[in-house]
Amino acid sequence: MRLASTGALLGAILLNAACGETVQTIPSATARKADSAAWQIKDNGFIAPGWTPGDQQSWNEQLKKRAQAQNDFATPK
Amino acid sequence: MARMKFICDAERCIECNGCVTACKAEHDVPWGVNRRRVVTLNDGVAGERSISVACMHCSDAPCMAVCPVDCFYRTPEGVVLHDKDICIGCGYCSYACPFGAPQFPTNGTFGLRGKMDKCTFCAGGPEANGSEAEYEKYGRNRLAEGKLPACAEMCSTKALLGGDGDVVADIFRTRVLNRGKGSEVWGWGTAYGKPAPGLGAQANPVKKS
Repeated sequence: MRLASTGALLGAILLNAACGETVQTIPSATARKADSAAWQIKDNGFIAPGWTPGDQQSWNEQLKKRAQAQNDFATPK
Repeated sequence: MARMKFICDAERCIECNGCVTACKAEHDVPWGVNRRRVVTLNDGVAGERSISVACMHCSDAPCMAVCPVDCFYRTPEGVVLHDKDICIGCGYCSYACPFGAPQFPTNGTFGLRGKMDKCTFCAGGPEANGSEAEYEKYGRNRLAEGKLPACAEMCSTKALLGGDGDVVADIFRTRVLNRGKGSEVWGWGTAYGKPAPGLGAQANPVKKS
């Protein structure tokens, strides 16, 4: 009798295991890496002239100036 | 802070595929993967239009929403990038993307699907900017070099504009006002949301009598 009730109890535990909630957070080992700021770069020989690498303001100005090269209605300076 | 966007002017695109070639060459993109391609609508019919298509770096990117391993992230400049070390190549992003941007290289004898590859707005990925590792995985980081995407800068007719959304929208608006037509910006509504009524360039404005 005791054996049967123990068996039933174990069976119930096993059946309920499927209803358990597993942790769904991504472990830090598989989490994506952080990226560095777009204006931070070590000289690789391909940096465009006219701005200071590492300076955000200078980078913003450089990209604005560069974008105007696509504007064929702009007055040449 | 700049908000990077692409505009493709269908009135100007001549289907030369210069953007596609520039992208391929700049990033050493493998055979079978096209980060950018030119799509022609009504090919051979009068009034056909061509559009250069790639990842539009959406404001509310569906690829980011569906990725089961959370490999996507958005930079402060609005560029949607991903970590190839995390990607499992499941292809969910490919189904979610309205522009067909995610590409999957096939490897080996049985053509196994590799990790996802897509346009990075020439902004590399989560490796040190301008490093060899970044180039190997994501291609050149032109943005960090103070340049704009190769496809846009290479475009011979300046149909493809890339850069800060405000700047490229101003360039496009000037064009539309000068030529008086072709104000439709393909894909912008899908990628960046519909503009508020009363804003944006309007070709042939209706005169109220």
